[in-house]
Amino acid sequence: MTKRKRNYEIIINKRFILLMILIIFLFSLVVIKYIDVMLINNKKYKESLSVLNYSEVNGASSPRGRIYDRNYNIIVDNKSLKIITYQKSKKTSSKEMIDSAKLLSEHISIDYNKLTNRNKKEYLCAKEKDYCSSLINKKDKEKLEQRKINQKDIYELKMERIPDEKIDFSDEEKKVAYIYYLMNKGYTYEEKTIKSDVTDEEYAYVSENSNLLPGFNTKIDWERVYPYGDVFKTILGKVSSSQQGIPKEEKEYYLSKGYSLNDRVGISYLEKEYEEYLHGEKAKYEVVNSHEMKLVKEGLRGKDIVLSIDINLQKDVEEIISEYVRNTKGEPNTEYYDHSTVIIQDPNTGEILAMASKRLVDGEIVDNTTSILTSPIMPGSVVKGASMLVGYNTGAVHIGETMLDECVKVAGVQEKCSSVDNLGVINDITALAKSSNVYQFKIAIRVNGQEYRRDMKMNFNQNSFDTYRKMYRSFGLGEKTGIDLPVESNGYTSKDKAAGNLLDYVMGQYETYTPIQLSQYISTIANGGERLEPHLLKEIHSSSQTDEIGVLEQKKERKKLNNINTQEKYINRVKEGFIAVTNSPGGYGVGYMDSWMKPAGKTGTSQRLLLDTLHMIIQK
Amino acid sequence: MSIVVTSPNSSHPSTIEYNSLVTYHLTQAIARKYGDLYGYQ
Repeated sequence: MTKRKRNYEIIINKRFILLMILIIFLFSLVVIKYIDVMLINNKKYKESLSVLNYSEVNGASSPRGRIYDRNYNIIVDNKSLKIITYQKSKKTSSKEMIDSAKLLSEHISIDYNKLTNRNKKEYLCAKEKDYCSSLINKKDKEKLEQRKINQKDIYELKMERIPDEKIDFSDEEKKVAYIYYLMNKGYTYEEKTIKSDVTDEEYAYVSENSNLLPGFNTKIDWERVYPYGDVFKTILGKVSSSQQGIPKEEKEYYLSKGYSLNDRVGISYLEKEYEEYLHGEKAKYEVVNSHEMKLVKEGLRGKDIVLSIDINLQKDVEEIISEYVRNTKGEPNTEYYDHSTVIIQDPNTGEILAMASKRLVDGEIVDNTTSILTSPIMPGSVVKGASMLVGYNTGAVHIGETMLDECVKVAGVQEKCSSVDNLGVINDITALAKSSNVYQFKIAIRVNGQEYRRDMKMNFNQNSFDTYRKMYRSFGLGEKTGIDLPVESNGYTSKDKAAGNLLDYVMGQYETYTPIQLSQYISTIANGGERLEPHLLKEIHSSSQTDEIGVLEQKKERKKLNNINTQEKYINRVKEGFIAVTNSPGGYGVGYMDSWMKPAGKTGTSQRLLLDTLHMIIQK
Repeated sequence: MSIVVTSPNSSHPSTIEYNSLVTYHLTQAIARKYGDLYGYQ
């Protein structure tokens, strides 16, 4: 018995010793860690703690960069606006927010037309929580407990079950509900704009009563202004308001770039295209506590950009087109005519100096400039420069070769002639100068592997279409030009497979191209065969906080897309033909420009039922 | 400098000459305005 008892004591002693060793070990670990935290790495842990506790929010949006024309005239600027903002703090309750909204609604006017039924219901549930809770029945609660539905589903059920009569608000209530909606729009703790362009009285009221209106503040915001009025305004583009924020369809993109939901961004044309440079950097604040914030970084205006556009030339071009469109409609036989378009481009750089289109709608001139990028037209004979290059490249025609311009008749295709009168025996230069269709037909038939004879049967050869198409595409005809705007169409590529269509194709009556594609085409001939990207941006300048433009940061370089696959002597021959168009006796473009301006160019007319006309002039 | 002028549907088929006139005069006016602003170098 005694021996047994002794054994127990030994076992207990051993266990006790083990326990003590374990406790001492664990305590040592705590002591070591304590020394590490308090003495060895104290600075590092303090930094980690401050990072964890640090919370930063953005201020109101900063002004965008200005837009200048090529001569540094400001064409888009910013005007300051007085605004009322709201920023929720962490301890603010829904009731406090509603009380503030109600008080504010009594002292400012606000347009609540955009208030939706959903907004009203959300306001109602914030105001009458018990009522909204009563809309949830026992079964819903059971489903929630069983995790068949979640809190979000419960909220949606409340929204669905609120009857319309419950949200039949008075005007005063709608006003409060709308302000409450604006206070909650976007991210919870971000600063929201409640009203822009407020009156002096409204501004003063909010400024003087910040203690009664917690979270509300007055600030100076901005709006875009256009010193040249509507000139080029469509292409300059638009900026969203704080209420619109970032576009829904591009939400993910902008959020991934660090934008907030209510940030103002470029939503069309140049404002959108150059958003990354134009947008301002918002001020940053550190959240010190629920009632205090500290400015960490001042807001910064966006970068300035300089366009290749000459705004004075643009203004004159727009006025001239408007005048001609209006006057032309007064002439006979113009029932189908409604617009004209002009593009002026430097063929050696791709810079666009002016581009405009004006349309007559119900007797009023409206801007139609976007059609330059999106509305294809039948080009007519202007494509004959490219068609001639196909002839030279394939050996179907030689420089200076003469052919008889006669009416051409191919089996199954209506007889086709150059014009009212046959042009007789002509060479390649005269063929371009007088826009001979027949010269191009006979080349096309040779490209097709045949030789013209009257009533011949033309074989369908896809390679012939492909050969011409490849040449047209290399000029940008039927391809996006790469212009620095977010919208551009390809034009229309016909898929109608009939041998006779080849004859229409080579004289520009088969596919349609946009005016900007035609500008790229004529520029490529003018510069000797380099297809350049047309562009509107010229320079980017750093953000400036003064009235002066910022420091030059980047110049837009000319961008070559491709060379035309031909020999220099061939493209020079086409240029010679284009000079003959505007200078030689009988040339179809004589008189379009005064001869001392040394013009060259190509005219074209669609032969569809409704005629398109198109002319191009290059100044040498 | 390249100048592109287009005037689609500017005439009835029976008066093909007319449609040339619209663009003809417009081109003249635009080219002269360009010359006024930039000279004729």
